[in-house]
Amino acid sequence: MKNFLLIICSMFLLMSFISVKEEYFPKPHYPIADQNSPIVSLGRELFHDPILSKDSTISCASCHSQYNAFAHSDHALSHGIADRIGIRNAPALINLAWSESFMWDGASFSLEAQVLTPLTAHHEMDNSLDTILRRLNNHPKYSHLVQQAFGETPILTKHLLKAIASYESTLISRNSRYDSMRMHLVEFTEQEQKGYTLFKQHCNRCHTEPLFTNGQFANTALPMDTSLNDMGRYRITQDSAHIRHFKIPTLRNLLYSFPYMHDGRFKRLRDVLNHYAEGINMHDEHRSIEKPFTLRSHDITDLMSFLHALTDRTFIFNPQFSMRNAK
Amino acid sequence: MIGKNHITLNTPINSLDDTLRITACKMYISIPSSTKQIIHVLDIEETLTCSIPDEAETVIFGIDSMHTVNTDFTDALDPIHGMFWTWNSGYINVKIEGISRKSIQNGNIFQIHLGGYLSPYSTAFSIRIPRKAPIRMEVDLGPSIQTVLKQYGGTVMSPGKAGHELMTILQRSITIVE
Repeated sequence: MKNFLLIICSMFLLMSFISVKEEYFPKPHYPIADQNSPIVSLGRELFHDPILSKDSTISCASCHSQYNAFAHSDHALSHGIADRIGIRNAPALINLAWSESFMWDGASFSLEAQVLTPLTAHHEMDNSLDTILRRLNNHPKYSHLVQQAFGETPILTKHLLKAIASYESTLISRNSRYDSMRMHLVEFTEQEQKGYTLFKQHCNRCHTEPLFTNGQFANTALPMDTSLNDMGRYRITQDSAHIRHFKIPTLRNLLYSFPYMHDGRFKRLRDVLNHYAEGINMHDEHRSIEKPFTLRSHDITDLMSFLHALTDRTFIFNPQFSMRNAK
Repeated sequence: MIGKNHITLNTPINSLDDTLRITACKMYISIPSSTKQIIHVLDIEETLTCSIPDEAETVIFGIDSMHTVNTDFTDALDPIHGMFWTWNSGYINVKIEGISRKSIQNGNIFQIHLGGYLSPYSTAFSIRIPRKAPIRMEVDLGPSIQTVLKQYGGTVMSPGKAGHELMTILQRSITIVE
């Protein structure tokens, strides 16, 4: 009888744990694939294989490395084949299943469509679909993996896109100290709590919990880099309201995803916060921020303490995401 | 067609006070149906003919927004046909490329890639067709080419105002020959 009661209580606790966990995360926009499925295995293999680039030197993982929260820390701007440098900072790939548009300018309408951009962009992989599909179809490993994943060969565009998108849908980060706090498993320190209060006051409107992005676009009033002249989302919509608007990135795992901003201009988190306190370009008529935030030096320290609590080391070191340790 | 001249790929055509050569001409045709929309890529290099069900009352030039954002990237919608913008997701509804002395581009090339599914510059449009088969549609590319050469230096290759304007011109240049 005792054991029976214990089981019932454990089940109740487990169920309440699950319901709390699900309660604070919204419904994903994109179906999350089963991490152990053959489609995800294929996607993981493709994501890490330089075969996709024109000269077979770089893979998706070259610019989106797991130890950088699937961003890249060596360069401010993305680094393509033949040392070509792009125009934007490689964004972190975190919780993409909750996104409705992709890329800094929202150019891609789906996770699958997004895959095509780096494969074909001149300053990234500079390859063609014809070449990629030919290479994959001539590779015994991929014929086997595609057959396993989709029950058919040859490998077609739809398989390539679906596999990589499915793998990317599994890159979920929801095991930070913040998440533990949300699930009432830990309490924030006084400093984290102060930072959290400041965060809700200044940042949450755009970097909305629990994804720490509202999925929209904003002009953060950065001084224009005239060597890039990047107009952001305006290039896509041609709507002047979108001039220098860029996708609002998630703040999860910020400690690992430096450098920051669409052009990677800030190497340190403190530089980003200083920008919001002192660096706002008030002459930018298209800015989304009305005025600089009132942040004293110790406020910035408190905010940083909170932002550190968004670090999810189980995400950074999840063996299921990497090739070497994949089961 | 360019004016009254039928187009043959890579063959000079004397028209528009110019000697033009068309090097590529492709377009999407969608046929609404009670079940699944039928989509064809017409390519001057292969065929400019497609079958239309007897019950069809309209055809769409291009891919509408619903079929764009819900694409499964298969068959006619496979980006391998070179009719999908990878830098700005969406289908190129009409692609016309060629050479004209009036183009200021390197090698005197001109390139017209018309697409875009977002308002207000959506480029897919539908036209009513007679229910008596077979039908022939003649599309005069002359006015579009002339506009791109005169106003846009020979290239329009992004969704937006210019592409929308050129698609409107193209729409006015279609004649249905029963």
